[in-house]
Amino acid sequence: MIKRILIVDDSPIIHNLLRKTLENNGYEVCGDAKNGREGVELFGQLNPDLVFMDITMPIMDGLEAAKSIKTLRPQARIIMLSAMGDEEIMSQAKDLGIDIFLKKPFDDYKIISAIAKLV
Amino acid sequence: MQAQLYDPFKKSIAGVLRQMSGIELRTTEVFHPETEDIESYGVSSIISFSGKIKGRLLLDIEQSLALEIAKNIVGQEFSSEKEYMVLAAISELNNIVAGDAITALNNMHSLSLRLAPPVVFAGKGAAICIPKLNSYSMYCTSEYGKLRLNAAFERGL
Repeated sequence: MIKRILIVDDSPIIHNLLRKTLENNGYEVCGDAKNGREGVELFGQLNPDLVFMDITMPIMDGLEAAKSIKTLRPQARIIMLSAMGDEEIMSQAKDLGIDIFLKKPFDDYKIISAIAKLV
Repeated sequence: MQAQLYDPFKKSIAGVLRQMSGIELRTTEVFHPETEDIESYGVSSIISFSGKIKGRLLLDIEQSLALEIAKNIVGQEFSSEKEYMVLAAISELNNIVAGDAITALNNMHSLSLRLAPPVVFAGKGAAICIPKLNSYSMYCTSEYGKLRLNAAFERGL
């Protein structure tokens, strides 16, 4: 069951929009991180059911953060949500065991149906 | 100018803006070389990318259009283009337009381009000087104001 979700993105716009979408659909946003390093730290502290992870972020990017999280907990569920989505990045994400890769911009349907696929 | 490098940006801007904010953009079909410093319309965001080649994308937007974009994305009215969430909205618009175009360029030409986080600033008339790069602009209009998309690459394919 997915209930508690961590958002990792450097854009306050994405935090704002994604939080609205998730909360309107009954999910709890248990943490907000602005870069990959914060995301890894919060993941360790909060143990969320799911992580939404951007790729392009300062300090630590999303692929590196996802790798660290998967090392901490191999069964961690991660949805990449990024403006980038070329074949090379998709392949790297697949190798890391990323569950789903979504391209921005997004709408409610895209987000909620992606979560539904993980349940 | 190599059209293959610039066309993905032209293809992305109108679609991404419509999807994010519901605003329709009328775009010119051709890119024009910029030979002087660019005088900002009001709100500007620059995003750099690098890989097998280097370049950057500048979105330069009139205040009235920037406020409308932010209102539609965030869902609330703003009175100044200098408000944090207005700047954040324009910054994210630039990130998504650049990401969409760079994804297409990477898939077509295997350039392994990666984006840096965008920077954004507000200030009508500010001179944007980007030396050493030849840049090309596409001028766009909308019901709410003007937008200039300016792209530059360090070299061709």
